[in-house]
Amino acid sequence: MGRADSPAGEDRAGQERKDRERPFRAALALLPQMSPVSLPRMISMAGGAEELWELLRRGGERAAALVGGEKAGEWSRACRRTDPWESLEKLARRGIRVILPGEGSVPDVLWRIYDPPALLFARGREMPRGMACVAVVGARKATSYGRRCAEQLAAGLAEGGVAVVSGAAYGIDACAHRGCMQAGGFTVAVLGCGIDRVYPPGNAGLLAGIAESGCILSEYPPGDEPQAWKFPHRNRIIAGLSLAVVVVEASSKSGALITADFALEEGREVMAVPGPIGHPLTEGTHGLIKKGAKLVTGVEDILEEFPPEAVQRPLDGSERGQKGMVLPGGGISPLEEKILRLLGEEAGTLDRLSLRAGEEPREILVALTSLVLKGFVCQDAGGLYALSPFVPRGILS
Amino acid sequence: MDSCSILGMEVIGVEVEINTSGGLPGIHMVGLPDAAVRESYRRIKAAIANSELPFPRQLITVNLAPAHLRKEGSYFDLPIALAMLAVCGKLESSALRGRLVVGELALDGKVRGVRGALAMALWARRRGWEEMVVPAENLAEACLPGGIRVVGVRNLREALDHLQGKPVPQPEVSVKESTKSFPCLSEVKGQLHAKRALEVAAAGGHNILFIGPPGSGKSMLAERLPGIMPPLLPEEVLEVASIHSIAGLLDPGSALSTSPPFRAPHHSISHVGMVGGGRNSPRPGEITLSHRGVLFLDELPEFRRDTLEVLRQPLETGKVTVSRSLITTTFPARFLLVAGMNPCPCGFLGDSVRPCCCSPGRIRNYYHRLSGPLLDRIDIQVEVPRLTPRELVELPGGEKSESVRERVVAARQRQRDRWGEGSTTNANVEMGRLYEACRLGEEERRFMYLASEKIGLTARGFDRCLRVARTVADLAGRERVSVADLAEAVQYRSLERIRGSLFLQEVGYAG
Repeated sequence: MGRADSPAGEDRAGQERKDRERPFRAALALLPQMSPVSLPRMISMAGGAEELWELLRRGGERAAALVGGEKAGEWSRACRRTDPWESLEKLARRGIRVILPGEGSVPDVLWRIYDPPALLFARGREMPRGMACVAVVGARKATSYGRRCAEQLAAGLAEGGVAVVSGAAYGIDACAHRGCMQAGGFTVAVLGCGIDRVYPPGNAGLLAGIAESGCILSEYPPGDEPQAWKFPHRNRIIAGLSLAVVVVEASSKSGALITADFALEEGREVMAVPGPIGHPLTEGTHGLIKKGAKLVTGVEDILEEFPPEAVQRPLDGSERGQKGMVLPGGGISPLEEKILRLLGEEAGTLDRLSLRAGEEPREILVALTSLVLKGFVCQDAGGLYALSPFVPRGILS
Repeated sequence: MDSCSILGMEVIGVEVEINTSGGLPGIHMVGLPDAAVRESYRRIKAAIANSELPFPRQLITVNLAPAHLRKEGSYFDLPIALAMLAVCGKLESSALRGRLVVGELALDGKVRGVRGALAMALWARRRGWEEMVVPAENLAEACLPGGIRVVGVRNLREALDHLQGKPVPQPEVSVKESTKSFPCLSEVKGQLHAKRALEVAAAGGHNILFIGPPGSGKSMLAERLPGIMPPLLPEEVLEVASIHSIAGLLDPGSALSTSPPFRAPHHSISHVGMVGGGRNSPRPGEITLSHRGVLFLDELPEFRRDTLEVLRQPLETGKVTVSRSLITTTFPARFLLVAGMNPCPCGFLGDSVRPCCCSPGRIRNYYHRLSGPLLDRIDIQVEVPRLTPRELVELPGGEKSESVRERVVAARQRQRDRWGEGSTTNANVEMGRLYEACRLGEEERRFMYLASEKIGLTARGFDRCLRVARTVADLAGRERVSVADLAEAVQYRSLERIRGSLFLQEVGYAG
């Protein structure tokens, strides 16, 4: 009969079915020690969330056969105590939404992955319908170069009308979220713990910001603890949401490579930002490029992979490079130009620069400050100065 | 008989009174004596016997006035012994007047040295004493202030002779000023950035923090700081020497040192060791010993938290008040803090050769061990990169300490002219006067606005930058603070940048 219905009617029917299922799915996910990994399988074996709930509530042999005797007893008691509608209501009061498979408030592509989650808990704003997502992921302990790349790429994506997905970890993740938010874009954080948890603790401010201007997703129920094994598993959702995964700085064992693997399996674009060879933080990204990942040197490289209607063309790279850089006193001085050239050959400490430029360290310091403020030079741990990845082309002709 | 003792940093005058009465021979010691004073009776008795002098065979009462203050140490052995000899008729009681006597007795009658002789001589001069009798060991030290006749005695007999008016041979003592030699700055290869920062720190009295991997030369640099600081002023020389004398650290047979003191306590130091203390009579701690000099704390995050937190008050006010149940003392503590730390627990974060093996959480905890209020008081923070062996060979040593010191002295002179007082520097002058002296123009203001935005400078950081910029201008002999001075000062805020980039938590994201 569904065939004969108009698409709108089908939609309405589907929506009603989802609304009926929603409390049961949420209540199932909230059962003590329910594993999000096995929940989708259990639902499909029982023939639906409501059916599974009923089965578990009744307990008995069928439930024991499905989930094991001990758990069946425990869950049976839990199910009897719980009213699914009420628990959904409670979540809503805390500002937590429940997103079911196939719902448009996250990109459809997520539900087509090999093992989609049974549901997602969400906090923050609702994602604009039809918005494309790109994941920007990478090392937690990143260099200033990587952080800047992540920020700039995320900002470019935001300007292109693409949502930036990442994992809210320190380093590249945090910079990706931040760059996107600063450019006024929509950013999505996928956590490996309950969405009401603040993890990592140092990113409390960041998470608060994301909840205000973007959204936070997790398949783990609210209150769930962060545990090491949950993070690789959550990476499949980061990859699943996104049309492309951009890796900025990753060591050879980085979790970002797991995200890239998931993306590859699901047929999404994998891209990587290059860096200096021989550096531990580029081993992972260069490895990806060697295996065929797309080499990214600017946001255009990412956006050109998408159909034109999915993105808005952002400003040209060089235009953006100059926007927002108010040069004190305008232009750059001859010494600053000299320093930029030297840094173009090799990043260096103040000592090296002073020696190679043949100038007093004092003079170099002043010029470096000016260059840092102009955004042409970035500083790294260990007193290292390096050319910023986004120096406008006109400067070093 | 008059004597004196040390209580905290102060010298107190003590009058030794003695009375004999009938009864079984014995002794009562009154006037809150501590164990060392109470035991002195045994020493005195043995010393008098071994000097073949008579000991009164009566009931003796010794009173140490004023009676309400606790007396400590072995200063009173010699005056009590002399008073007893007077009781036996060996001395006219008039011979006991008009002189100040201190000294510890050995059992054989020898007079041993005491700590604090210099401080006592200073005090005696101020109080108008004409003569002071001290152990021969302390003679040189007690002569340093001058303006008072000082007699050194080697044993009880000599002391008696002197009081009886007989001549006592005195060793030749010459008061001269000396300078310690510190290792030269040119021995440190490369590290131009850090050396320049050191120069600015010395010139403006700014506290400084070196952040760098092990072996990058943080301690070498710190040790060279006193060598580029201006020599102590005459009144400072005595002040410093007096502190060291009370702590018993003054070189015997010493000359007055015009070099700033340098103290480098290990990070296992206790909080009392740092600020000073003690049960009854507080002794000066490391911060007081480095008064007018340099306190070097290597591995800053390894210090116990409470030990670091107590530094806050002295860093702000230049003194520390130690309160105990029985006494409250204020120690001077105007020192320049030099601290060293690794960029992360393993030490290799940002190193070009060895990768760092610390998790972000560990690094974060490492930086969190330093409290914000403490770091706020460190104006200059610089990163000291590790040099490769090639750079060690190639890089020049650079300037000698002397030529750097000349510039520092000139910059200090400029500050003295501006602020008026000797100990006011750009680092500790009130903010209002500093703003007045900086006179930022439109361009400078715009620059600082941009810098605070781009580098994430806090309001405190802004003030600190201004202070450092003032010093940079003073070093260059400029009246006004220019954009270039500010630009250099901004580069000395490494820590703010590192903390910002590691945690990204203090940035507002919303909107």
